[in-house]
Amino acid sequence: MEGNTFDPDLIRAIFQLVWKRRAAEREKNERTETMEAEMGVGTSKKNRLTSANANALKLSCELLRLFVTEAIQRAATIAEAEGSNKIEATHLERILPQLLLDF
Amino acid sequence: MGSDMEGDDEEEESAGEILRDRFRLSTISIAEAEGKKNGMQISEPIVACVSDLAFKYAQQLAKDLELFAQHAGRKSVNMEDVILSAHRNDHLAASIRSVSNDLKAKEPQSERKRRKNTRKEDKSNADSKGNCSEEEFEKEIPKVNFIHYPLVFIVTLIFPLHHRVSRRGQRDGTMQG
Repeated sequence: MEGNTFDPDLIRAIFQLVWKRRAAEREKNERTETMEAEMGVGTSKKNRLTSANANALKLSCELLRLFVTEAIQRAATIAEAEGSNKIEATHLERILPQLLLDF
Repeated sequence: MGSDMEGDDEEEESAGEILRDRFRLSTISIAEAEGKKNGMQISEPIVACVSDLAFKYAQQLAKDLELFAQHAGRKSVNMEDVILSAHRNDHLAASIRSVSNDLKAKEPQSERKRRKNTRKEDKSNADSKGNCSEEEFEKEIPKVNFIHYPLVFIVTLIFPLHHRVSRRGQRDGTMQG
């Protein structure tokens, strides 16, 4: 089962995309607030990009893997209770609210 | 400048789509394995739905982690931040914490040293380098040393012995012949 998890590099790429987007947004907001000091903005943007260390990425992979396995397992128990052996949309719908509250 | 930004946006979007597809493939393999374990078939739209949910969750997680790290006055995300982001469910937090302990136990390098290093990196040049490569190097070098020195030692000991024995065998053979 250990082999079946997310690739930390993939997760890092996703995280960095989000962080880049947020940094760009922040920069835009700041530029509209203060029209001068464009040089300062250019350098501070570099300083602000967030990064993640290797263990944190592995842990995030585990968290996402747990999300997927929990979704499937909870839906599977509902499907089993209804006597079907294929997980359908209704089963997912039933477990979704609690799943989203738990994560 | 405006056209530049648009080009960037398009590039970002296509990169995001590629990432989403790769993420979906991983999710499918995880979900299929889990379904097999439970003896359940999963209809395809459900897998896609779960994958999209997990992708959204990953994006939300990225945002959370950045905010947590910033709140702690750091620029790099820590394991503590990830544990903090799993606080909504006690069982989830406990299981994530145990995994983090496992990860920590795997490399019980002197933590004080590393903390100093990361602090320095944060201040000076953390951004120009890869995010985790340095720490990984720190972990791997001692392991390699520990494995290799005995190996080299054994080889240097055994090889002459083996050589001598085989030569003796040859000599015996020629004497018999």
